[in-house]
Amino acid sequence: MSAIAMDAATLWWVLGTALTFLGLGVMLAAPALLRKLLAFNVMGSGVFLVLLALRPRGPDGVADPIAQALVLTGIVIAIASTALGLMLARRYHLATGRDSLPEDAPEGTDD
Amino acid sequence: MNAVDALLALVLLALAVACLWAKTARTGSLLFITFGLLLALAWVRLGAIDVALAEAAIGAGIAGALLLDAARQFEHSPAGQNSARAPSPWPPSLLMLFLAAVLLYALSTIQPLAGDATLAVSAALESSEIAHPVTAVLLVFRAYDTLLEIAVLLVAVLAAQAAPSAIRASPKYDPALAAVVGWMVPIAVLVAVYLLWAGSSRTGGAFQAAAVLAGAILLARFSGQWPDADRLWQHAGVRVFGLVTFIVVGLSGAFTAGAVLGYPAGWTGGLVLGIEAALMLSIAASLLALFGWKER
Amino acid sequence: MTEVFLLPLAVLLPLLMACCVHVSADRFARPLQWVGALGMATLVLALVAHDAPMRTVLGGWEAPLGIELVADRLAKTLLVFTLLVYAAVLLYAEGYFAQSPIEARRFRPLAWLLWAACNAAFLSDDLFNLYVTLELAGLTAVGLAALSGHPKALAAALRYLLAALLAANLFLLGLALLYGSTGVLSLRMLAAAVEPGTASLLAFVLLVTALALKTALLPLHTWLPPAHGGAVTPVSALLSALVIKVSFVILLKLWLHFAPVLDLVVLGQGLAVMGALAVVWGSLLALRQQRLKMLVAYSTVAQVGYLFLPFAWLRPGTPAAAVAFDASVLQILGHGFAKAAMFLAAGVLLRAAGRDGLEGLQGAASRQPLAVFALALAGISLIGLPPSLGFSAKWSMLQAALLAGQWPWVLLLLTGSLLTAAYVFRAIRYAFLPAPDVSELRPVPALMSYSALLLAVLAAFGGLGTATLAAWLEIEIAGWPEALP
Repeated sequence: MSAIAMDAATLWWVLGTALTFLGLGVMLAAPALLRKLLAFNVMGSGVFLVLLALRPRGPDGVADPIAQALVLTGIVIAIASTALGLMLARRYHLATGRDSLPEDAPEGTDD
Repeated sequence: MNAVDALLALVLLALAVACLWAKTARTGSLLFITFGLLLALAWVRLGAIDVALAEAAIGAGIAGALLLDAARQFEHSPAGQNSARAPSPWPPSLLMLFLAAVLLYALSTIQPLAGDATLAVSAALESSEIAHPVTAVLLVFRAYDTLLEIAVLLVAVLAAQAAPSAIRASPKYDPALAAVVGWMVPIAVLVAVYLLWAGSSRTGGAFQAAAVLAGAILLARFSGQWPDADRLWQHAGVRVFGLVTFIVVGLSGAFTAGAVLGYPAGWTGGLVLGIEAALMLSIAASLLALFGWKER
Repeated sequence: MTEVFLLPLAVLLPLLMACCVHVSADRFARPLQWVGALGMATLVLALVAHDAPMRTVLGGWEAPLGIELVADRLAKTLLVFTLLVYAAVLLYAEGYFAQSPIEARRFRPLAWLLWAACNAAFLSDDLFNLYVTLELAGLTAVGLAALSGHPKALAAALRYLLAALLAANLFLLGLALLYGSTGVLSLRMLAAAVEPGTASLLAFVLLVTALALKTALLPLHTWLPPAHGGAVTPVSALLSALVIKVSFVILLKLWLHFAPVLDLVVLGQGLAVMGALAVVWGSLLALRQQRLKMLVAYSTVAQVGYLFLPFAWLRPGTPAAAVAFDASVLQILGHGFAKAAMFLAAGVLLRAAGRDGLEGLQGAASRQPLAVFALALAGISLIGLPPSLGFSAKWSMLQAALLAGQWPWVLLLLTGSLLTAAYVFRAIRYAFLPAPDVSELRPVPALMSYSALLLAVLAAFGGLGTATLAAWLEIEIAGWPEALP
């Protein structure tokens, strides 16, 4: 491959792609709950990078404000999701001593 | 392409790999915090200062703290069931590589319509009466999204059943810590208020202010100094106050400005600040609820 | 003026209610809910009474800058549907949680937040806003699934959450591609601005995959049975009847907007094939279940398959499209009412029997006749017997398949109904067996049985209103020609 000069934005969405699939792979494959949540966050960061890097910047170098607002909202939602996941994982761990979900899906509980 | 950018990107990738393959939950969380901080730098390089601040405060700071807190608990699990120790099996690497290649190809074909959104925002900025474009998008143009996002945060607190029923005994009063905290807390509160105020004209805003405020309150809690104030923060009403304020102001907009979530001319700045102040309180209370979760 | 206020209120009122019930003491929360429900009913009726399609621009900022809410006929139908399901479930929940105030206190705010999320998704016309509503619905659903705090419920909720998180990121990636290339987020503007190509197709595939995962289409369905079967009964009803419909409706809206622009024929056939497999596989798994709620949960997996069949026939410019659209809506309504009724009735029977196994149902026909009747009526709709909504849905699918010249689907529809009949009979059979002598059935508030019955009647006899509904419903999106007479 010849030495193609990557423009600044390209670098970031390439990184974003890498992070996205890195996170996706680990989220699917790793059994530990905490690791899955970390992977979810890494994947999310990757997607945000792709989102923002694609949009052209304003004349003064400031990134697209709508894209920034979307990423900000996404970050807040991601942390809400992570917080919920961690709380559930911790309660599960307290109750069962496990830090990962069992392989077989458990049957429904009694009413 | 800047060499510094390339280096930053490589370090970020390396940190992500290290974080996800870490041996212990604690190491992973620490690496994740580092990752978040450097990612904030990347956002700066991309021209997204507001995102950088949020990433540092929320993505690295709050998320990191939550993860570390959780990691501490997980390290106490019996060895036989602790799968965090076992190295994670190789992810479906070939599939991921293939999909990444597909995405890269698709991305390379995109020629974005130049500057559409930015132009639209700058054109409307003056009539929005908010000087800072990102704040204008968050609280004026797309305020509905922000309102729903606050609801999502509330859901997380409710769903985690994180609302502490009662903290049995406040931590012991520690005079040394209390002395330090005595001046740190007011300064932190001032910083929070500044961040809130600044949000209308430059980077800042309710969330970042709330993070600082929550940190200040946690400090106060650990020193055992103001137990009554602490109990006030745990009240359910404080958690929903921001959302309710947002909704009420939004609905009133139908009568005063002709559209729900619209602001009457001349009042935008004040109303937005008011909403953000209410949100700051609620978000701080929600964060406290998430951190106040005690093993029962 | 009405439009300006009513559409956002459909979302903001439930949010306010959630906040109010969260801070109120129990004795205020209950009457407060009735005020809220009454308010919602008035609101929805006002919206339906206004015949023309309604559009609100939030804050007064038109797209591409701001967010629009649209109440076309599809949205109005869904608002009424949600109202009816919620009315029954909230009634039921009061009886169900009568002895457990702590769970009631956890349930109420989350339930109202979920109502807000459903309405928000049905009304929104903005892609990122749809993402936020999807998250709101998803996290609320996870919280509801974990309500009891039992380890098994926690595990199921965690599985559900991980699936939801994965779907969220995939959806965002698709959104990034679309927004990145066009700079707009409003659905109708996106449809106009999108250029067919690798990027837009990949984006659409990502969105569809994310939504299929959230709707639990085979093979992405494994998270559903433990979550729906293991939750407390009112939650199971909400999850199966409403939550999976939220992601499905978003998918339907996206399809309607993008099918005139992108070539979705292959994707449509693919979705329909997975739907067919889901119908068969889900029904077979339901047959194998020993516990009633798990049986009903696997039935959801099967019925979700039916939801995806119409994508084979939803092509702009074909006569089959309008019929296929009707079929989707009828399936949403039919399955929603029937499944909610089934879960609620099952809850009554299980509470009476004290345990979850099917054998525990023996003697229920004489002791809890209302609940068994509700179960049977719901079963009628699931199987697809006239005059139920299920029948109308499947009949429309038959017509669409024939109009599109795709005969093999007829075979699938027949097979599906036979398999459904098999597991429905299996569930009900025990109720008609005489009870073993020493079985004490616990008393169950009649209110619970009546709410189940209400939904079951809607499901079993709703087919009578099909003609009116089908004539009234139409695809109100650019690119779809008028339905042929």
